[in-house]
Amino acid sequence: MKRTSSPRLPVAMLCLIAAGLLTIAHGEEPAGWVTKSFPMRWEDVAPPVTPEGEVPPLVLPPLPVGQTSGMEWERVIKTSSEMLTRIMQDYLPVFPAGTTMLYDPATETLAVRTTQESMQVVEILARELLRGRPWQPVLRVFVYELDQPVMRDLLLETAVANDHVQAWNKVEALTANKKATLLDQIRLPVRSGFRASADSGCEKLFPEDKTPFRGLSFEMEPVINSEGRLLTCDYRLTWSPPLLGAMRKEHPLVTWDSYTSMIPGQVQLIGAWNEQAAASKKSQCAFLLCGRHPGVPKVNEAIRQVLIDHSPPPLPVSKATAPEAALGMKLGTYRVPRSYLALDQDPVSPPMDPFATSSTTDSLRPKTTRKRPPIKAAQHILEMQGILFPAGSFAAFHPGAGVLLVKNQAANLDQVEAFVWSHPRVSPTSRFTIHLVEADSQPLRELSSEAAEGGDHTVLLQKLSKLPDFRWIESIFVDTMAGRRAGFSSGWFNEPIAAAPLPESKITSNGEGNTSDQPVNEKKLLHSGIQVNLDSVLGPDGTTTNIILELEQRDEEAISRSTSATGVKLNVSTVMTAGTTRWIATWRPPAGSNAPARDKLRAVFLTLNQIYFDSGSDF
Amino acid sequence: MKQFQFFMLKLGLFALAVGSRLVHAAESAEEDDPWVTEVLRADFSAGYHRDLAADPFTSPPSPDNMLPRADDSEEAWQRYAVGSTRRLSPFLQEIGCPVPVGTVLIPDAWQATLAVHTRQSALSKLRLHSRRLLTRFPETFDLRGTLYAGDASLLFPLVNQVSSQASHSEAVAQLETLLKGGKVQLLDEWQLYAKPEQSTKLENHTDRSHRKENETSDSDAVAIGTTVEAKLSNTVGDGGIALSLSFSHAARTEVSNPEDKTRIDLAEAHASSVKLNISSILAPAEPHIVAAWTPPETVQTSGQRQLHLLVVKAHMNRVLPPGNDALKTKLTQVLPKAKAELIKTEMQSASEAEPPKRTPPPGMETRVIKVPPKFLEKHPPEQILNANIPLPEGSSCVFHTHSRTLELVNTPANLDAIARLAAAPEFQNDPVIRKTVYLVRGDRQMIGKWVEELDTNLLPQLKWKEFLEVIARLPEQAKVVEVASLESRPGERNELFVEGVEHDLAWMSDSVAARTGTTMDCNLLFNYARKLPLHAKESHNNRLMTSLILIQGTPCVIGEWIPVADTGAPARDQLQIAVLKLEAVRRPVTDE
Repeated sequence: MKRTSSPRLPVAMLCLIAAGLLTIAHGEEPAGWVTKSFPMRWEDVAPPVTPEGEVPPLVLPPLPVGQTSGMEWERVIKTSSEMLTRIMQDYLPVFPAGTTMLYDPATETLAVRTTQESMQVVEILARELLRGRPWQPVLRVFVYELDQPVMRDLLLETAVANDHVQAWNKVEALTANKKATLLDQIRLPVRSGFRASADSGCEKLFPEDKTPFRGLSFEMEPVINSEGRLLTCDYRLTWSPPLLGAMRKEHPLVTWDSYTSMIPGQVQLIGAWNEQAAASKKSQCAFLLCGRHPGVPKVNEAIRQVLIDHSPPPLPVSKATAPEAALGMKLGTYRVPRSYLALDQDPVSPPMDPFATSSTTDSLRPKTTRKRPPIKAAQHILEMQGILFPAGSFAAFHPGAGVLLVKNQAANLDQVEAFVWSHPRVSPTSRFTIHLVEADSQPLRELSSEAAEGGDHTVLLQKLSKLPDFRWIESIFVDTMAGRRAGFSSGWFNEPIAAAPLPESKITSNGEGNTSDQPVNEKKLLHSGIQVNLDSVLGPDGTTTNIILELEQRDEEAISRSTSATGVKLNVSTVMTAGTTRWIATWRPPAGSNAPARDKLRAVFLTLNQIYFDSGSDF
Repeated sequence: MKQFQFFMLKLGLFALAVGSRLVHAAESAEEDDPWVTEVLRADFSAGYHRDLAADPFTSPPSPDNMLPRADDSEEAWQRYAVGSTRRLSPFLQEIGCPVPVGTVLIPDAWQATLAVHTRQSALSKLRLHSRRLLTRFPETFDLRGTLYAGDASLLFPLVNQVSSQASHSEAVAQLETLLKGGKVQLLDEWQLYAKPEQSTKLENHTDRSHRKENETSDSDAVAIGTTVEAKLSNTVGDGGIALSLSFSHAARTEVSNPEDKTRIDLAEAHASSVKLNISSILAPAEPHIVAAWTPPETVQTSGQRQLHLLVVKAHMNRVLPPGNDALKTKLTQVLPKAKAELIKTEMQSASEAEPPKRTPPPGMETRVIKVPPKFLEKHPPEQILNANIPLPEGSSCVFHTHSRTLELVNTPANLDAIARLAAAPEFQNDPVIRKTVYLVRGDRQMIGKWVEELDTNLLPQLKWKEFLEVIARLPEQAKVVEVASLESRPGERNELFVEGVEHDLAWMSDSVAARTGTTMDCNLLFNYARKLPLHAKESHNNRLMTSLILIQGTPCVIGEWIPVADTGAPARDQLQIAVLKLEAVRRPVTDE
């Protein structure tokens, strides 16, 4: 390339100088024009044009590598601007002459230089595309052990919050200071709509031993909602302390069979329970973390700078050409379903004559069923509603973003809003907190008369907790959605759990796991623990919740291991509104060998909170 | 005036110089591209008898069409040579293999032989097309496999290096050098012949009949030795050989722990074995590393990790009848006369019909571009319009399926765009997906930080490379416990089962690459079981069963666990992670 013959040299030098001059001439953005870069995938830049949904292949000129002359850049900018404008005009009819664009497929960056007015539209679209981008959840579970009073505080502060990241940070800090222990952890990356599981723990090599799997086992089926950001998942989680070489049929076990909603970056405290060893002053808890994979790529800021440096100066924007009507126009942004374009159907299609021969139907059938490219149909749908689009107005829709951008006069925008108005509905998570408490019988009886006066016993519980002999026995979180049964248990169980998958030796023999012969057992609560099943149905008024609560509790301190199983079993149904606490039941604990001498009563309080997620929030 | 004369003189000298150069160039062309006579294995009967095949009764085969007997007269041979050359030349021209004027061809379809006299430059193309058209004859495959073993520190970089490479020739050459230097051992080798699409099996293991009768449990049925089952086909097109291979290798493990004198019952904790299922697309005669894994660790070798590599090489051979070598002597006999006659008639016909040459409209140019076979599966002009490339007034797009070319008239910018379109990944061959899983164990703080960085970093592949370097530098803080690398064709299932005394590894995955090859769907089952010699009946399992979409070349942390210490208790100061990396590797489209 260096073999420049002598007569060409001056020309080349001239070019270099000219390029240099040009660079100096427009090294900054012209007035009224801005240059920005956005993360944008190719299928978002060039959404499908065919009914089969095929994305046009990337045919832009490749970005030059290494030292590149200004002229080379100008050539690349010219070609890619032409092609990109041609592609994007179909759904974004806002680019004035002089708009320049570059696309870098490696980092999926689109750099645009255009007028401030047009940039506003591009920005909205890019933001919506980013929000609606498919992502895969990475769920992580951490199990900790910490002191009971600390746990109590954490439970109180997390009861109504939908994000428990602060609580998790606290526990992490405690762990770093050796005041808490991380017992186990697990990670499960998955994609929406697929069932996945992860286990970490001990089991016998030979499954016929029927010994339980001991460790952390997590099974779930996450679904990302149609708006693309809220993750709802059914999950089943079990935990029992793993210890190789010390496996017995009987073991402490904590299980969840529940439902939750999360947004990426969120942390949830999904359960807390007391350690099941006798006289333990420790609590254990589990956190569920929701991350996303893959992350959002970093945009290539270098091509933005290239656009600033090497774009030819645009023609001055002449105010005179703007139509009169365009002056008072506003830009409206509306969330619509991604299937919005399905509304674009020709209303006048001749009914098919059932007796016609093939020749007559062929002549009747319109030659082209759809004249508009699918993405231009956005405006047509609104026009069919009688909404006027004067000169200078437009309606743009990108199928990937699910956002309708309309520029029009305020009166017309109101009509658009009336047409497309819809509010993303998010069904909330119902969080039940069950407090099992113990206090002296006399003050408890006194307070119970107060309880008869209203449906909300939040204040009562607070009063109760200040009594001198008051004791928290268990506090349990159960998250669920209306209509789904949720379960939680923590205690000593004697049966293997059904979730333990077969070891791989079984799977190899015929290529796939034969799940039919898995033991499906009802696990049986032994001498100590708590088991809760909760059904909740939203009432017809939309504010009350009908609840059926099944609770079984046994206390090791109260009963001796040898006696036949005695404990408490509850089956209660009630109606509650969100944000209230209900005193559900009271009973006298059975007198055991090591029971305290004083007269005690136990009570169960149930708190219901509705946790909402703002699905519009950014992440 | 003088100046003008001087200028003319200079011009003249320049012309002279240019002229002499041209003459010289013509001479050197003659020298560089001499006439040669050769015998090839070829069968052009498909093109040769094309007209006859259309209607065998209208034009009965003339004597010129039929191969003369060896004792026929020289004239008969000459007639045959001239006739068959005339018939074959247009056919060769059509399939993109034109032969220069003066070429003489004597084909023998029966014995798949072609004696040819042509210029050197035309010969290589003729050879290629002859080979490609030998489809009438059945094919057979030859598969060779070699199992190498060596120190992980030597072979691990090699595995990383080839993970994104299409050709492994260089890496295998390195491996051979290491083998000669005694740094790598050759554990096993085998060779098989196979018909296409037919499964062949080779079993080479010890007879286990002497084993005690009560040892009938499933896990005990591992035979010591090697079993190979392979299926090959060339259905991939363009020369690639599709391979499906299941391979198992089991070795007797002598286990005794001198330190604590524990006895390990081998009947229960059986011999170490490896079983894998892979599939791949191989280039003919090119060695390829199809799998790599950390072998099951025995008590003796723990501490110094090894790596096993499986290298395979496949050939495709056509089963041809013996060639007719006598054709060459016949050709040399008839050559002068036949050549003269062919040149004479060619000159006449050339002067008669000169095809009119179209000039492209202003602003446009003509270009011929070669396109991959997949590009021609759909109507090419439609493909071009779908990609938003205009075909304006005056442009044209003519395509030739056999030679895979497009003759285009369009503006230079559009032509560039079409060339880029043809090179787009969706028209390339199906990729082979290479999957590598790394199990890394190390200091909790450090590994935890790595996970965070891999999760949030924008270029995790660079971070991961950095981490691997750290691991090589600081073996006390972190180590790669297990590596496994397997290949599969899209949609095929991979399996790997490593069973040892101290650990078992099971890994199954199905994956499909997206059209552009940048993302891959992957269904995954992974299980790493740690076994303690003291508690031989129990294992600590790290298991994962999920479905993911992965980005090509980007490492993904699929699992994170608290590992188990040698005592059986959880090692809470440690963290163990599994990282999966998928690469879609395309073998370039060749003319083969």
